[in-house]
Amino acid sequence: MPSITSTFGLSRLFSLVEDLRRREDRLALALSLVIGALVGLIVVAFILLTGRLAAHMYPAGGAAWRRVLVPTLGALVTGILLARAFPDARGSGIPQTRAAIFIHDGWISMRTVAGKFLCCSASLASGIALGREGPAVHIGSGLASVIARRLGLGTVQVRWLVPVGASAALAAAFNTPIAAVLFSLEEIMGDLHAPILGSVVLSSTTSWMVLHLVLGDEPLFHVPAYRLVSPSELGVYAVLGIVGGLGSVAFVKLLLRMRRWFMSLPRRMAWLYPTAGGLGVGLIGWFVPQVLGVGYDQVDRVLGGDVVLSMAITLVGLKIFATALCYASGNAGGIFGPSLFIGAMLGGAVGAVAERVFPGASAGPGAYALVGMGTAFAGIVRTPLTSVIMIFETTRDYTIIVPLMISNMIAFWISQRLQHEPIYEALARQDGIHLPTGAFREQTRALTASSAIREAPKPLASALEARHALERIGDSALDAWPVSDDAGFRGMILRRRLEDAVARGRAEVPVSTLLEEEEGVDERATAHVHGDQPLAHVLARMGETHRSVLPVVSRADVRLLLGVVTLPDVLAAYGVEGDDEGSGRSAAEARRDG
Amino acid sequence: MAEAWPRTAPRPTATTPEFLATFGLILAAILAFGAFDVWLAHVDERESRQHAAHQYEDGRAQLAAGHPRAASDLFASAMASERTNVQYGTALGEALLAAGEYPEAESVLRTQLARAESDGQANLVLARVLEREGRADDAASYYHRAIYGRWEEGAPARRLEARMALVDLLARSGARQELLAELLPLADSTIGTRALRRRVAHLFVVAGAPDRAIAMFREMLRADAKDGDAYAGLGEAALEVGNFETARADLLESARLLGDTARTAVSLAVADSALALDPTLRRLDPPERRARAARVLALVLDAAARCTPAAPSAATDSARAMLAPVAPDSSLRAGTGRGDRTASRLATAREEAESMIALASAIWDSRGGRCTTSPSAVGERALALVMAKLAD
Repeated sequence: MPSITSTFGLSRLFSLVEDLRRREDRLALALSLVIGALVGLIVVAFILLTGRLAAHMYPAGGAAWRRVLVPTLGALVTGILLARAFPDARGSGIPQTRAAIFIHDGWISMRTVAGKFLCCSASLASGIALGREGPAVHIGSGLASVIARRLGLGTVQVRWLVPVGASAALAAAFNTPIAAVLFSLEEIMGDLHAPILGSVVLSSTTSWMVLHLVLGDEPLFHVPAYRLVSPSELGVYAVLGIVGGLGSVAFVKLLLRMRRWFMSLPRRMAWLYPTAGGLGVGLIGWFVPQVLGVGYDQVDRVLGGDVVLSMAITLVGLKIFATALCYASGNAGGIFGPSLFIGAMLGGAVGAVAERVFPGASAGPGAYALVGMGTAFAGIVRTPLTSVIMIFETTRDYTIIVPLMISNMIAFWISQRLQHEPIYEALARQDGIHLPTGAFREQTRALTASSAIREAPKPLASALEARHALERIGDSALDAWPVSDDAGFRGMILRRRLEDAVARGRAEVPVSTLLEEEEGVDERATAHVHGDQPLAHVLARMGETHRSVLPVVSRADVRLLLGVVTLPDVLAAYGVEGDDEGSGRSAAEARRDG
Repeated sequence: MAEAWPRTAPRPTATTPEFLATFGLILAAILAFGAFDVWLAHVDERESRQHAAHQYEDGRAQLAAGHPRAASDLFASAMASERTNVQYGTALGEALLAAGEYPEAESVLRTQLARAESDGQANLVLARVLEREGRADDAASYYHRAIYGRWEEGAPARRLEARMALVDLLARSGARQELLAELLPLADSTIGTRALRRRVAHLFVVAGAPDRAIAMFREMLRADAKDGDAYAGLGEAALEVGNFETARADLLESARLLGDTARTAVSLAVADSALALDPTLRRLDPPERRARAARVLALVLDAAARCTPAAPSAATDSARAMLAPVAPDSSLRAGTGRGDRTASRLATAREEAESMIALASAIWDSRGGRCTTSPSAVGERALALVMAKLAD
């Protein structure tokens, strides 16, 4: 009996699993939950381990020499590991994640995940002035990729699951689930309308819940209640936007320039270069310990209003230099956290000045530090929406939205003007990887059927006989011709179809009959496109229907013909001038004919 | 949740058992990492608490050694390690108070009180901060919250400390009614130490209830007849009620018992001055009474002139006329009898003394709150005590 029961149970389980695998929506739901939970737990472990390691490397009351020795040794050890064992675990992880999605079909190796976890824990704990969010995103994305591959999912599904893992990782690493969703869509996918939105939200929420279950409800930053003292303060926030934008550009340019220099050095010594970053940050840390590590404790103090103007300005300069040096020299760690640090210090400095110039008419430096975090993030990472939501999630206060948006948009605009390429794309380009840029995506979206539409020829009457229809078409370049009846546009009749009918002795058959034989009686089934659909979609439709001419019809009335779009027109819209314009032959026909 | 995955996705390549095994492996990893994280979080929390406790202790030592800035850094660090501990935040507030950074201290303490609004220590420290900021009313409110707040240990002693701090504030701000209201619960002999009761008794004098002070000091003397401090207090209280001779005697006894004349020297000097000035002493004959009344009037006029020099009134004019040199007595030229003359002169002196006292009281009262006497000025205080006695 037990064996029968167990057999029955197993077979039932197998059938359930089979059913789950067939129903992709359910599989997506299950995987989002599982990835969210696992990535959340691993990122929490990453945060806790890094913290514990740091506590042991820098015991309370430890000697100053530790601040030089520990980051130097940390960078040396991780430099060797990165060069010899985990070459893909270097740097932030966000450009690598994007490259995995757009270039490598979502493929990230387990070795990279393990290397990122190990090297970043050691590196960040030793005081390297980089952040943990980027590596966490790489770890989360990598885990999602590994899980998807191990489950035998297809390439496309693996690609879709990578941002799901990224979102879960960021939600746990930064404690902002909504911003994590937006970051995954805005930065990682580069598309806020990506069809994986539901999965990304689910994994982010699951991961955030795991974080709170394990670590409690303590926020990452302790922010006092925000308030806008007077509307004139918005002017100061605009100044903060300018300062933040310029600071962001300075940071990005310095980092890219330093990285280019390090990349010009001999490759065989790559294991040693991170040590330069470690030594550099160690020497700075000897005098100014606040520069070491991610520095969120310092950010927390500044957010609480504990700002000394001279120190805030000093920390901005030193952190920009230290982070650029650490990253450029090839250490493991990201720039997400340092961006926030730089922004908080910039904001704190601007706030301290505002407090002196307009005493009683401006909020404290803490409020400006908070807005500054978002400003620098918008300027450096170039995700303005994510930065607004991220700070809003941190404060949970609506009143911060307007100053934040003003400041962010100004910083974003300045950064766009002075540094054309966003940092992650520029970093990938330095590595020889050309990621799809936002401009490219915009350009692609801008090319619609309307940009290739041409006036439709006068339609054939549906009652017209085949032979007369063929005479009407004559030697036109189009291989299909519109047909209309009393109600309007009816469909496109192929020249080949008319020729066949005449050749087979059906010359008197009306065009409508031939059209029904071709497309059925339902006119809605007629292949067509709309003016606002992307050209990529038009091409896909041409491929599916094996036609080189498609009618463009109104969305409000499919019987209203607006024009036609041909393959040569599409190519011309893309800037490709074909020789066979007007050949009248479809691409499919051309392929068939050899 | 309808997920729009691409329809062109290839079929999964893993077999069902492989799929199941991988899923099982993932669930096992979730369980394993869950357990690992919980353990790690526990270790982290424990070490953070220990670290915070060490920093708190170091901070306390720094604060006790008079290094409030170093202490505030340590307390801030302790607070960062264990945010939920109100004790650390309150200690930070204390350190900032000691460092003179009142707005910062207030901000920190208000944050702590947002977490635990009834915390006695946080309320007490905030009250002290507000007192330093000159916001006496707000400070009094927080002292009350401290008195009736929650204390982890030694609640009666800490509440008494808060009440005494409030009492001191009220005494300094001259809120006599409120001070008296706070002192009355402390008058019970079972509350506090002897030194505290002595302090309370002294404060009764400040609160304008010297009789209660005398009763408390007498009770102390019944318990210990050689209590020099109690005699000193008694002397002070006697001064307040106008028993200058008793006050002098008590103060002298205090000096004898304590073997220290310096502590009571000022009060003794005040008592002597008051005794020399007081026109109401029974043993005085009318001319002496008149002479003292004239001195009192002259001193009151002088004091009034210092307060409102540009605004002479009818009363001050009358007083000046009264103090002007008197013409030779007409009764002497009329050749009336010696006995009659003496009786008449005595009666006149008595009447004049009464008039001068009445006039002095009127001028003294008319000064209102514009003038204050300096407690350190012996003559001024003696005059104030005499005038208070005359008003009674």
